[in-house]
Amino acid sequence: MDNLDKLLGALPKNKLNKRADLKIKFKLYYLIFLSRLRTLFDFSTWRINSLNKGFVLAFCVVVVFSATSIFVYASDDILPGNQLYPLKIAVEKIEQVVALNPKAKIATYEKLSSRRLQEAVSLSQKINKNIKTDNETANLYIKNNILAEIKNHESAVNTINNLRESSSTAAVINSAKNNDQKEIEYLNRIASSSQNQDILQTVRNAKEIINHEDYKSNINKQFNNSDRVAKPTNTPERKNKAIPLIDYASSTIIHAKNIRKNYRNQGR
Amino acid sequence: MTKSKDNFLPYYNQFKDKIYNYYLYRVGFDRLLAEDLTSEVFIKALKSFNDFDKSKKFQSWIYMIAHNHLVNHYKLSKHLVPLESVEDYLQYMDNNGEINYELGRVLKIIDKMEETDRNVLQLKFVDDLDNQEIAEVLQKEEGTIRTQISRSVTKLREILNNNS
Repeated sequence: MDNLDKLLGALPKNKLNKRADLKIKFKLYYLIFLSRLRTLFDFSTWRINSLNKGFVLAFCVVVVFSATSIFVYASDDILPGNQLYPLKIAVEKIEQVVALNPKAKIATYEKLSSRRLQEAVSLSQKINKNIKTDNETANLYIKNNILAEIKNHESAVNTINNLRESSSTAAVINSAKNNDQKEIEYLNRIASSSQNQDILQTVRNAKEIINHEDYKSNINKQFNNSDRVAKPTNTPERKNKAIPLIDYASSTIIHAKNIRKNYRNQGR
Repeated sequence: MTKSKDNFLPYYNQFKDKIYNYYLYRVGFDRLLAEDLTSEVFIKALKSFNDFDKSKKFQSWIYMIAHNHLVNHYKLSKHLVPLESVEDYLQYMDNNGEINYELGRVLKIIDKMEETDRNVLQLKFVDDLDNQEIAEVLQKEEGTIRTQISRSVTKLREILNNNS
């Protein structure tokens, strides 16, 4: 065979098919990506590049904090007395600050007042079921929540009264009315499940404020489009009604703090 | 160090077909097995790419990894029978009109030769490695390889002449 060299040179040279090629490429890209990640989280690199370290630490802190905040904010199980409850309140405060538009503010006030009452209902149910609850403290929390609801409700009403008349005002007022009904239902549930006189009195006050004629006439006036000019919020009458309420709220909070102190002292 | 791993992909594109071909001839023309081994070799190579000495040829390095990987594969799969044979492969190539009778004969004879002869012939004529590269892959002296190739070609010629 003289042409052996030629034949050997002509032996078939096969090519990798495209599917297999893509599969291998994908694996290689994935490994390169992983190696990049590993470099970013490499402690030895951190020592050299403190900027990386700071960035990653800050990123982790932000992620953990945001995740906790979102969980706490969304959870109905975080009730007053829980260690995470102050975080929930802080997130709600941010939500209030972020709501720049009056309608958004009204929606936030309504949501928060309903939420406070929901929490109060959950607490009163816990008392009834005797689920590891200190009744006295829980009753104080319920009362505080009702007072917070009143505060939010008042703020919502004031903002509604400040709204300029427009096509969407009617919808806002309707929503407020619906929310009022919901809140009355919650208050009724609290009243039916509680035997504490203080709470019953607070519930009565809250219901009175929600059903107040002045508030209703204010809303109705806007709802009927009879009053073209927006009413000032803090009329002398409203101020006079609000002051005793605030006094009542602050005195209750101080009273609550004293009871908690005594309770702790007894525990020691 | 990581940047050098990014530089691996051009090497992959350059040598993927060669490594696939290398395996195809050594695993009884089993395409799927050759693809798997090719994939494993490139992953191995990527993982140790930082150790690659750039003063040397990449081709020798990747063939060395491929050769060692093949040896390991043989050790682990002694009992396994190739799913395809050289006859199946020739049939396939014949159907596609990519091979003639003479070439088929050469291929069949090489496939039946001793492993040492088969190995150097394939490295030289199928994988197109020069003597020095073959020596690096098989970790032998270049002179030894030259002699080995010469002997193997003579053997092949004799077998072909005797059979014809």
